[in-house]
Amino acid sequence: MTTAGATAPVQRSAALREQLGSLDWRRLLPRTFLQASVIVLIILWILPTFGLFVSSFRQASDISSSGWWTVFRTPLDFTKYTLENYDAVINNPNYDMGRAFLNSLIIAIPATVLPLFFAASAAYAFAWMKFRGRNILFVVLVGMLIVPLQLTFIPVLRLFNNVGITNNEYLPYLGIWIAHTGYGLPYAIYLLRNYMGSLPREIFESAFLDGCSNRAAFFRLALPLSVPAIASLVIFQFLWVWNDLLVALIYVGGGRYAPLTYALSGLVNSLGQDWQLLTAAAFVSMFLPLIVFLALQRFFVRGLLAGSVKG
Amino acid sequence: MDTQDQRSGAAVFLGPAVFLLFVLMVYPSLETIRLSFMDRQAENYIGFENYQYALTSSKMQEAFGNNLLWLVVFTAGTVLFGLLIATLADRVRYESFAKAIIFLPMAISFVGAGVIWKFVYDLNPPGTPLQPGNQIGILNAMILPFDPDGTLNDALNVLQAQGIPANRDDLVNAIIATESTALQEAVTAGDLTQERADQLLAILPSAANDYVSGKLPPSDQEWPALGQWPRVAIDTINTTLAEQLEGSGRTICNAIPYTCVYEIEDAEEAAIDSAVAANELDAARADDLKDGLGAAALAYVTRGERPAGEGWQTVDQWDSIIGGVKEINLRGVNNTLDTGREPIDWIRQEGINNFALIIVAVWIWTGFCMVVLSAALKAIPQELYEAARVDGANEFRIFFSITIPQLMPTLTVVTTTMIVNVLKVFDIVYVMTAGNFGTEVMANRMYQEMYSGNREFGHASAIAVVLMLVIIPVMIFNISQFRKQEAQR
Repeated sequence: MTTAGATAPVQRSAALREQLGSLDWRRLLPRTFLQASVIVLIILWILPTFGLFVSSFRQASDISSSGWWTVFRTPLDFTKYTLENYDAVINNPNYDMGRAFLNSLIIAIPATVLPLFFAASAAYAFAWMKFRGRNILFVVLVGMLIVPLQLTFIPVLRLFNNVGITNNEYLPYLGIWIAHTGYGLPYAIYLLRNYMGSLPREIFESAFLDGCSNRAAFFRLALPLSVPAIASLVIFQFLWVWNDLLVALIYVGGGRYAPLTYALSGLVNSLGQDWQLLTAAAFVSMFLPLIVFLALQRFFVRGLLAGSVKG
Repeated sequence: MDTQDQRSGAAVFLGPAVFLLFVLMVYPSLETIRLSFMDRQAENYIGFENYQYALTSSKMQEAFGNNLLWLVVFTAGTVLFGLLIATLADRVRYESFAKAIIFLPMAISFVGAGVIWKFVYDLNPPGTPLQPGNQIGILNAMILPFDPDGTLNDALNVLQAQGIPANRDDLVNAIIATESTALQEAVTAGDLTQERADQLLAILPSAANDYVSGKLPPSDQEWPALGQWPRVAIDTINTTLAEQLEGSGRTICNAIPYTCVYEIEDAEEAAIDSAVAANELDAARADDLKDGLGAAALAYVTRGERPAGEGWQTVDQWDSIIGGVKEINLRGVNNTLDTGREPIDWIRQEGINNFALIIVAVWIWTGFCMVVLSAALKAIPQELYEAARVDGANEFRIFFSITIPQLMPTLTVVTTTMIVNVLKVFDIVYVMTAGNFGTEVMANRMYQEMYSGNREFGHASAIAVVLMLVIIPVMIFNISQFRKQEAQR
């Protein structure tokens, strides 16, 4: 017992010394430095969002008198956390982020489905139908990718005003649906045309030989086979619309119909230093994109990469 | 299938897309170009007037300058950070986790990011030394961990250095007494539960001791009398002074000069005013004297320098004023201990704020650059690296001679993509400053022309056309590079 206790540390330290001697410090040092830099970068990147998250659960008096990091002095004292801020921004009609969340959904779902459906059918025509002027039309439509959206706002807004689309009581979202549908098309057509064009030619040829109509070929072959591309585009377009501020500012009439981004930017002006409300409101607006990001990271990254230059 | 059938079929398939794109993009683009030559409400042709505004107005000049700054700093920032992180993350085991964290901001709206960073940049007005203000924005808190201006501890130190007997324990006890009374009153008034008050009372001795030693009291607790703590401490010190230091005003002035400066100021100001009233002193000269009074009094108290110039009324009595000082006051202590360090207003202070906004955009877009570059990095054939290592090249040599040249096509695409983004930057500026404080950019200016005040559609159209002219060449280059790169794969 005593001998074992006495010798073991000696053996261990000898082994350790040997190990240390064999370590190549010239290789180890850069490795440590590498690990440290990556960790510092990660912390740097997550800290702002994390601070917002923590703050959104703090009481108003706490948030205005001490930094959010002070909660870690007593992290397990749960009495200092509260859901009141969320309750206030979601349910209080002055802030109305609950309503804005709903507005964002009402805007984003059609503004995702419609452009993708129209783009898919156009892409199908460009890929598998023969007609005169096909290439020129394709270039003109996809060429709209290079047009900054700003170039279109004034005439479209005037047009919408003239035909009664803006401030339409019955269809308050019609304007922004149409706008997002149009703005989403060039890129979706470009991507889906490439994807559909690369589907195996034989499948379509044999289908046409069997008397398959274009309608059937589109719905039964092209659409199902393009699901991977469409999935990425759905996520991209949905988040683009969800996170968009500019198009909403231009085409959404009043605050009642405002999506989250619009409502949140309004609160930034009106609430100023009421950080307990602003942080909670910001998190309400980020909640869905973060879920989508965490759950569908692969599609999400692919979709965003592909559509980076849109808008 | 005959051509006729195909054509009508194609019309059905293409109809909605073609219609929407013509109505929403093709026609409006041309119409905007026409509107850019028309007046405010698009009624009369006015030639190039709008372009004169779009190119030479001061607001637009400011926007061009800022867009250029964004172009350089943002593009360099995103591409370099993206490359750095892609390279580093490639060598750690938790690569996918690291990349997910860096990419995360891409999921958030620019408005959300604006709020996140406004909170990072937040500033509280600076507190006074004995009543420190907490910075809740993390950046200012890092600069001023708590208000660095002197604490009670510093005040005690300067007093004791002059041999003034100020007892630390007396201060602590006085604060405890005041605060416990206030806590009891708050319970009686129903502002506080007895339970909560008991919790606070339990930690009060250590909080008071911390405060006197120069630490902030735990600010996540509600101390009803916190505002009185400094005054209570000063009063306690004054009690000691009255008991033990009868008539040595000079010592007090050496410790806390501003206490005496204020005494002199008050006396001199009153004397100057009555001299002016009695027509013995010229009013303009009186104003000059008052402007220089603070500095003159401070020079006299600290260095014994008599003020230069004519017209001082009480200068012969200053010595006796100093000798008669019996107590210190809060204002004097605060001013003596004030270091003048203040939090930075990241969003409003010109020269800083553009960079503050650019950092937000870099934070968002670095993830994008990183993912694209990381994919390209992994596509570089391993044999190239192995060959270089066999030849004995070190990591830096390998990075610059193999990695960078191999990444060049991707770097070009990423860089031009960032340039297009930066030229269109809007949301961040709109949310964080609305283009004020010298942070204007082109896209925000266009929006402001459209919506604020006069609805200057002509100006806005011209700005949009300028924006297009700047963007399109970059965009075309970007797409051609992108296609070239795709073709290589």
